[in-house]
Amino acid sequence: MPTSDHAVQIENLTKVYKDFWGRDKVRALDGLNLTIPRGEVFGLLGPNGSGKSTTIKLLLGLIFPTAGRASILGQPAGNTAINERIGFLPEESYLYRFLNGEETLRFYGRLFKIPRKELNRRVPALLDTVGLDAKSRKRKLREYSKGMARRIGLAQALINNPDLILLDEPTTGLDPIGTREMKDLILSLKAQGKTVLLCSHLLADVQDVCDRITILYAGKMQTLGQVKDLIQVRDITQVQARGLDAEKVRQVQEFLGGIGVSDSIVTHPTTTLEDLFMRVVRENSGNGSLPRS
Amino acid sequence: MSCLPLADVAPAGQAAGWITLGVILVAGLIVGFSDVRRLQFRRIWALSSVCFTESMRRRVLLVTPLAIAGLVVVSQLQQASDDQDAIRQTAKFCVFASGMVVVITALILACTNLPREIENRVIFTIVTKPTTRLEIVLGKVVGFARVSAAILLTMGIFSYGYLEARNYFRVENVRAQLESLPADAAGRATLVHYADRGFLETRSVNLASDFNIYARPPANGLHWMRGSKPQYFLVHFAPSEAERGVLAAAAQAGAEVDLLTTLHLEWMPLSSAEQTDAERLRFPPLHPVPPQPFGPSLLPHGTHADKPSQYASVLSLRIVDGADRNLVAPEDLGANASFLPVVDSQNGSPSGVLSLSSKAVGQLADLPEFFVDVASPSPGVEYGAGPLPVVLSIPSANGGKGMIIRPPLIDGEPEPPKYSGRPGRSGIVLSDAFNSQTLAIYSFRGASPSIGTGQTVAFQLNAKIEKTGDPTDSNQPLSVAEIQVVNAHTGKSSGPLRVTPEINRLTFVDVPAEDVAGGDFDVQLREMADGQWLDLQPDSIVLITADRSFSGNLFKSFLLLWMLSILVVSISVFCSTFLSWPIAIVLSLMLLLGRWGVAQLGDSLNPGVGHTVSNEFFSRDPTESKVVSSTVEALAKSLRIVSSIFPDVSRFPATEDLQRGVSIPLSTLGGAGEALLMYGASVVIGGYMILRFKEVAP
Repeated sequence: MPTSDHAVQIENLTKVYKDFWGRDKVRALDGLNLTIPRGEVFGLLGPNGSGKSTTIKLLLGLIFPTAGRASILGQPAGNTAINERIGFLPEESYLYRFLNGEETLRFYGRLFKIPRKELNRRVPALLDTVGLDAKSRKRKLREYSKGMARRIGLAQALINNPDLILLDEPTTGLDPIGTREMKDLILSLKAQGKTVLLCSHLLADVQDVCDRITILYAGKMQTLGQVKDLIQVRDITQVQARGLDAEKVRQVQEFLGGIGVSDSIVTHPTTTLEDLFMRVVRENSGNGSLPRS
Repeated sequence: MSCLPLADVAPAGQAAGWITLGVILVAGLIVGFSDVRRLQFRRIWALSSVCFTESMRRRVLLVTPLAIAGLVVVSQLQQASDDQDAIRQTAKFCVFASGMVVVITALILACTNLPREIENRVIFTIVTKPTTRLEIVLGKVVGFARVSAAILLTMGIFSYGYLEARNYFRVENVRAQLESLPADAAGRATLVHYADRGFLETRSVNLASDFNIYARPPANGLHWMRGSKPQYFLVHFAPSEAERGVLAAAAQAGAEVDLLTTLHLEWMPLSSAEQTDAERLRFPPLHPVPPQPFGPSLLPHGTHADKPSQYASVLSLRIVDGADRNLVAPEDLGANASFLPVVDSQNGSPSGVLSLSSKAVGQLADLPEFFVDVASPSPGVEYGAGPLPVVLSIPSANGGKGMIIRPPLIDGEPEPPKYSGRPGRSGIVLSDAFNSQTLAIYSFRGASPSIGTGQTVAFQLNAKIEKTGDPTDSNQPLSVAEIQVVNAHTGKSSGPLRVTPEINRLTFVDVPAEDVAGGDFDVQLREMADGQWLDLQPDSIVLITADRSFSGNLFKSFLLLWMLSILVVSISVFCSTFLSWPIAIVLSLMLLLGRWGVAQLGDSLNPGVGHTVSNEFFSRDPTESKVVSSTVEALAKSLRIVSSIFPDVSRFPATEDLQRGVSIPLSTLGGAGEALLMYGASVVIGGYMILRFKEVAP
């Protein structure tokens, strides 16, 4: 039985797409079982066509399962009432292109019956949070760049201060600064006790923010666990030290050879390109902080 | 005499419409009770606002200047017969153009919106909010209803201003005409009327409840039809299942079945035209006794021996449907059906007996309703019909009491025959009143006259005039009509009032109020000018009950258009829930125009069409004929039933009354509202149920 201690519970969830004549066409999801506790950032990984988006769509009631069941925050998936507590960022920002940023948020806010006074407070705050300045928020969405569209998409997903946020490819289309901000935002949502389910194929992003992940392939769960456990290489030990010159490095290798380690590698670690990018931009920004993208 | 094809099925269709709505409503409640409980007008309004904003920002309102430009061009190029006609045509163009613009726009917007949102996945961000599918459907309908309102508001404001401007210039024109017109000129009174009151008049009127054309005023329970004149009467039959069973048995047994006519005859003086026709046709005289086939039964009991110059009295009988088409081939009806000798009815005995052939009886047994058309080619003979002039008689096979099939009962009385004349260019012809006798009678029952100053009530006459020679020739004598109002309760008559109707113009007649007291009265109308005749419609004479504001009537017209546009939007949204937008547009059009399309088939689908088809194509083989007849009949019936449950767009008559200067009654608005509720609610709920179970992720 689903319990409200879990943000998401999926039992034997299966989705088979049919053709016009009702014959099975594609088994997009095959007997998925998954539980996501509240307050966790969970990553749904997999190559294209692995069933990530199908799982999200099933959870949101956009499509209906062929078998199995899913519940969100203790309610059956697709229940309209539970949508009051859910935020959803689709893989692309499927929004009304003729509205401007502010109108968009007000519209979605009205669907949640948020009082006008509260909307007057919440809309500018959200636009600030996602980094849309005063000029941008008055422009029509059709004039937005892809990054701006992702930001307004994220803002609409947060308009109702949801308990569970489903993010489909949240960093797609964002520049490195935007990506970092998105990841920071996800971590801040986690800090607020919210549950985040994100699906992505940008593994580095997932690695940075997720507590647990699962990898889907051909509609089936292939692996599930804590990120740090899954990516740990248990038979290799890494020792890091600062300020070793060439002589000391040679001595370390001799010592390792002396204790029977024959294939040791002593080298300088590399940073990530993202960290390098951030450092360069920060150093050149004039004030030592990151500009808004 | 016409019986519209959908008229019979309309009440049944209406009932079916309400039943369908009820069933859909219950099904909708079962399926979506939780959604109904969650229904929030604020969400619906928010969704509708998006539709409205999108339409406005896509510059949908640009269609109105285009329509306005077209409207101005067309109204400037119109061929109006006079100032009043020009204004009326302009009013019609305004409403018609507005209707076209709003219907087409609403259809395209509503059909394309939902499929587009599903296609570009905007729907993802809507259905993942606490928005029910019911709210989505209703939001779309309300949104596009708001768009329609904006379009109609724009068109309405322009139409009013444009019509007022045209009216101003036309009135100035009339005033200029009046200054140069002699005081006793014909038509001056009408021009003065327009100069004083303008052309944008609107009145409330009462229509006559019945309209007949007789050879002379009814008297002593007899209604008269004149032979050789294009007059006839129709007797309606709707035999019960039992009666049809007896007819079928009689046909099988070859038993005699007779059409009995009971008529009073009078030989009247002939007009010169009748005399000429009779001589040209060599019509058999009454004396000496004509040879066969007129037969000895023609002998008029010696009562007319003093009329040696008169002609034989014969009837022409046909069995027809509501469209005046033969349901039984004349050659199958029986001997002498088109030349049935008749004598004066004596002591209630039949004056003419037509023995029907077995084939004709068999065909009648299959017909749920038919009309017996009674006319006479006899020059100068007038036929007086009582309440039961024609019956079907089936004698008993064993000499016992037979069966008489009569017209259906209305309020306990047999349905009275319908007296009429030949159709003219614009209505039923009322020919010039030879001997001041031929007349049309408009019967008003339950009218509510409004008494004006001078204790009079006003009637409006709107009849087309036909005349020999050039109708536009100003040297032609004026048409002269005579109107007389007879109170049905008191029998008091207004006395003859002479009026001069003008082509394409209204004529107003004031009558003492006491003659219409009680609301039940007959208006008798005669055409008095030689060589001229009036083409009459059931609303050619109406009782004016009040003057109304034109702007109010224009508003009602646009309100009807708005209701129609909401129906269009509802159907379009329904279709768009399960079809791609091009197919949704096609299906929406089919649903909207299906009933109208079937109506365009005219009376072809009336009961009896099977016999018509089989008579025309398969009359030689009785078995084949029967199969074809029943198949065609079944197909026609199916089509009528299916079309009757389609929305009836004729219940949104936005132009007719406005064009005629008649105030649109509240009942018309109510009828439109009823049609909108019945069909609109059904399709909205249907659309919701489809969307409720639709996977919106492509």
